[in-house]
Amino acid sequence: MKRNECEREVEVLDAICTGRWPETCDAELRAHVAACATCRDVPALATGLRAERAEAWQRAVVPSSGLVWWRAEMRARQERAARAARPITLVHVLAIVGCFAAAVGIAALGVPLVPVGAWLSSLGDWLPSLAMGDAADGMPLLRPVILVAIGAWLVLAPIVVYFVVVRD
Amino acid sequence: MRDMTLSRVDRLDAAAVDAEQDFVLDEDAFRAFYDRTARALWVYLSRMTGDAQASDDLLQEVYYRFLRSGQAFESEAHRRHYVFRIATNLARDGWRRRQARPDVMPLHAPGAEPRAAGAVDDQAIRRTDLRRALGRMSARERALVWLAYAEGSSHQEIASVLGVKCGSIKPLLWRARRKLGRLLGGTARASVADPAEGGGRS
Repeated sequence: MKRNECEREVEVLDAICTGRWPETCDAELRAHVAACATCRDVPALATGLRAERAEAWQRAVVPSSGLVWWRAEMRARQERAARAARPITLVHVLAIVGCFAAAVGIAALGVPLVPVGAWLSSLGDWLPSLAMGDAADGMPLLRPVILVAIGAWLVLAPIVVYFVVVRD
Repeated sequence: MRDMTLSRVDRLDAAAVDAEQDFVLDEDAFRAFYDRTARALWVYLSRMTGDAQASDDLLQEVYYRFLRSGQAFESEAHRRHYVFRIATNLARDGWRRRQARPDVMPLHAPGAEPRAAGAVDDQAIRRTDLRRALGRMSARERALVWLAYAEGSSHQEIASVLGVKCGSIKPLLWRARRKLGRLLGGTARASVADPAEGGGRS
């Protein structure tokens, strides 16, 4: 047998757990505990821990079984609802990503068609004319402004649609 | 808070029916099982975590995980070991997190409130010593000594709760006990025992 093992340790613990230790248990067992290096500490620690458990047991306030069941049920429902809603959320995300990609694609295709240099120079001409109160000179600027508005709409529309749908 | 449309309410109703089907016990069986085990489990959790508030939260979590485990249990004892096993794992994870953030580790174990001057009582001192000593042990050591000596569990039961081989329990328990004795110190160890409170198995 190993140094840290004693066949009778279980017997000692059983005597403590059943309340036989120390008065009503065998004198022979008491003598063994006094002599055995492995069992010597068992009664002191086990009795102390059991007293600690008894005290904590008295002070313990646990929620009612009905409350624990109800909370478990609610949580299970929420998890199920979340699971059920997951595919819809995925479709939303895919739609947004698709719209955004389309907007970026359109913008990328549209940019070479817009004469940016001419547009900037016309902007330079148009701003002073605006200050002079002659807005009619600004008419050539309408084309790039419309393109920008369309681009912004392509980006913003799916986001708006998403927030409207998600509220329902 | 968001308004709920009818379709969402319907979905929740359908989910409620399914939720009950997902549990391993029906309500009556669960309530009976809970009433038999909850107090012992709470005491175990409170000694494992050293925090009464955390024990309340963990108790709910343990029973939820048990209900959703989907396991087929052979007996009441099997169910009981299973909930203690879940509790051990949750408490151990919590202990690791607190080890990583030592600032949130409570200074006093539950019930070890600072004593008022003049209100010194031997038993309280012994208990405080014991709680402090338990608080300095690792989660596994604490679980071992608590299950073996406070709960009176057999080595086989402890092995099942802790998920270790039955043959390993004896040396592990011996080491844990020796450490607890060392932490309590020679004189404290002798005084921890109070023969008047030997108590029977509850």
